[in-house]
Amino acid sequence: MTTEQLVLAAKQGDDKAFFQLVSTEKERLYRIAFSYLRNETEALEALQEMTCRAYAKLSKLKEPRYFNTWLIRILIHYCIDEQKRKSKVLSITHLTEPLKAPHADLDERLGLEEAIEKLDPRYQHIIILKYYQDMTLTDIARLLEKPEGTVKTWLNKALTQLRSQIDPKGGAVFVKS
Amino acid sequence: MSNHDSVELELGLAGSKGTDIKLPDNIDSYLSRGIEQGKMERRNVKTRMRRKVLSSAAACLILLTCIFTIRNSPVFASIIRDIPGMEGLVNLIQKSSDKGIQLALQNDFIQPLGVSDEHENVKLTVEGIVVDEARLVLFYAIESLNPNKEYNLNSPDLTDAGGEKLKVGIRWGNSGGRDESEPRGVHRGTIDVLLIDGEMLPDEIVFKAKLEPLDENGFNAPVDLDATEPPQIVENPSIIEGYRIAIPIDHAKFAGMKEEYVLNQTITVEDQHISFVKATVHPTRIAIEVQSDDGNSKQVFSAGDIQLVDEKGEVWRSIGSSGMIHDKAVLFFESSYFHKPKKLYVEGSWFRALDKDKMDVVIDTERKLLIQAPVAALKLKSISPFGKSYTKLTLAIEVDPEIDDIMGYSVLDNKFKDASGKEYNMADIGGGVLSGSSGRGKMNTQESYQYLDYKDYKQPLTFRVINYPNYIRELYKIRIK
Repeated sequence: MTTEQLVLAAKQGDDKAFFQLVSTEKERLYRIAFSYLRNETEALEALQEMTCRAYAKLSKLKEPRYFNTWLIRILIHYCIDEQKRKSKVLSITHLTEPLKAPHADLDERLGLEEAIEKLDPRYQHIIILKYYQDMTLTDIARLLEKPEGTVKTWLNKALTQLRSQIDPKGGAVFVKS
Repeated sequence: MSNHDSVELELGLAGSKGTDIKLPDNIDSYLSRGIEQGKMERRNVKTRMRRKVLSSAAACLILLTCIFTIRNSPVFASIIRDIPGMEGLVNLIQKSSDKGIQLALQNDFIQPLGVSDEHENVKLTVEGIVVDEARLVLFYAIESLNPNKEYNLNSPDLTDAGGEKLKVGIRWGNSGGRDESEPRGVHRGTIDVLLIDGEMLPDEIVFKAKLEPLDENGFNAPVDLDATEPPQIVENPSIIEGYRIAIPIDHAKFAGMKEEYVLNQTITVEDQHISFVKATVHPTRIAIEVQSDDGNSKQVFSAGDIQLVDEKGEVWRSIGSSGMIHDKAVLFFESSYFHKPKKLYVEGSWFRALDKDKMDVVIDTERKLLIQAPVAALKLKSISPFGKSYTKLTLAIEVDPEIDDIMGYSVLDNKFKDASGKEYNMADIGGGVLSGSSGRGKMNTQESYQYLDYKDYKQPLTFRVINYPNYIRELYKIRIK
C-alpha cells in the first residue's frame, strides 16, 4: 500500500497501518531525534511521544501524502521543547550544585553541538536538518512551512552565529585549508 | 577560505558522523507504546470536551452538593489534622461529597502516603489513598513554588510497576478556577478509580501525570456551542511532563471486607419488568446489578432517582453506573459499610425508557429533513457545515423543566446507517467530539450536538437512540439486607 492508502486506513482506525507508517520511517526519525537530543534513551522517548501525538491528532492531518513531513514536524517540535525543558532543569541544578570541571574530557565536537543547541530553534532546525539529515533547503522549507527564501536567510544567519559562538576570534578551532 | 566555509566543513564532518549512529533494535516497542498512549489521549480529549460542555449546567449542582456536605465531622478532622502534612487533605475530604468515602476516612480506612515527584519547581504529591477491592480514591496536591502560577492535573494514568496499564475506569476533573480555600500556588483534587469486577490491583501501582498551568484567568476556554469550525488543539507549551509516583497497595487492610447479597427481585413499572439481581457492598462503594426483561415493549435505559436508604431513613446516593439497564447495568452508590445499618433498601420512582419500535431517528442530512422521530418533542434544529470536512447536526428536545431531568447524556448512538444499510461512526474530531447536550437557551429546550464526516451518504440516515428523557414511573423499594 502507498503512504496515502495507509494513512486513510489508519484514519479509519487501522492501528496496524498506522504502525507500519511510522515503523518504515523509524531509522530516519531516530537519527533526527538523536541529532537533537544526542542520547539514545531520550531519542527513543521522543519517538514514543511523537507516535503518541501523531496518533492522537491523526484526524487533523489534511494531506495524507505529507504524512512523513508532518511526522518529522511533530518530532522536531518535541525535540526543541525537550531541549528547553532540559536546559531549565540544568540551570536549576547549576544553582544548587555547581558542576565539577564540566566537559573536561569531551572532544571538541561537543563545542559545536553545544553551539548548535544554543541557537534559536529556527536556526537549529536548519543546521540539523541540512547537515545532519542531508535534507535539501526545499524539503526543509516545506517541513517548517516557510518560503525557501526565508530558510536560506536563516541558514546564513545560523552559520554566522555558529561561527561567532564557536570561534569568536576566528581562531583555531577548525582546521583551515 | 572564509570562516563560513570552515564552519560548514566542520558541520559536514559532524553530520556524516551522524550516520554512524547505532540504531537500537527496540525502536518498535517504543512506537507501540506511543500508539497506546495516543489512544488514551484521544479518549481524554473527548471526555474533557464533554465535561466542558456540561460544566455550566453541572456547576450549579456541584455548588449545592458542596454546601450541603462541608463540615461533616469536626471530630475526625481534628484527629487527622495532627498528622504532619495532612492538614490540606482534611480540607479536601471535607469537600468530598461522597458520604461513603467520608465515613471510610472517619474509620481510619485511609492509607496516608505523602509521596511526591517534583519537576521545574512544581511538586505533585499523593497525600493518601482510600482503597479496597472495588475502588481507589487518590488524594493529590499540586504545589507550585511560584504562587502566581497554578497547575492543574493533565492526562493522569495508572500502571503497574512494569508500566502495564491497569484495566480500570479513571474519573477525575479540574474545577477550572482556583480554589479560594487553598493557599496560593496550591491545588488539590481526587482521582477516582473504579475497578471492574474480578480485577485486582497489584501490590504497587504507578501514578503518572502531566501538569498544565491554569491560564491567567484561571479558567479553561469555554466551549463555543455555536462553533462552525472544529476547535484547534493548541499544545500548551508550558505543560510539565513526566510525573511518576509509586504507590504501595496494602491488600491486607481490606481483605475479606466484601459483602454480597443476592436479590433476584423483579419489579413491574408501567408493564416493563426490571430485575435487581444482586448487591455487592465494599467499604468504598455499593454496586447493584439491574437488568430489564428482553420481552419488554420498551427499552429501559437508566434509573432516574434511584438511591439507597437505611432503617433510619439515611440516604446513600447514586455515584454513577456502567452499562444500560437493557444490557444489564451496574449501578454504583455511596457506601454505608462503616455506618453498619441494620436494614438497607434500594428505592426510587422512575426510569428512562422508550418504546422499542420508536428507537430510530431518520434524518435526510442533505435536504435537512427530519423524517422520523421517536416522539414529537424531538426536533431537528439545524444542519450546518462544520469546518470543511464535517457536518454538524443539532437536535432540540422540548422538555418540561418541572419534571424532566437535566440531560447530561448523549441521545444518539455513535453508530448510524445510511439508506443502503452501510454503517458509519460519527466523526472523531481531533479537538474532541462535542457530542452531549446542554440545557441552554429557552428553559424548556435541551440541545444535543452530533458531528458527521462530510460524505456523500445515501440518504436518509438512520440513527439509534441510546438514552432519552422519556419516563416510566412506579414507586419501588427493595430490601438489600
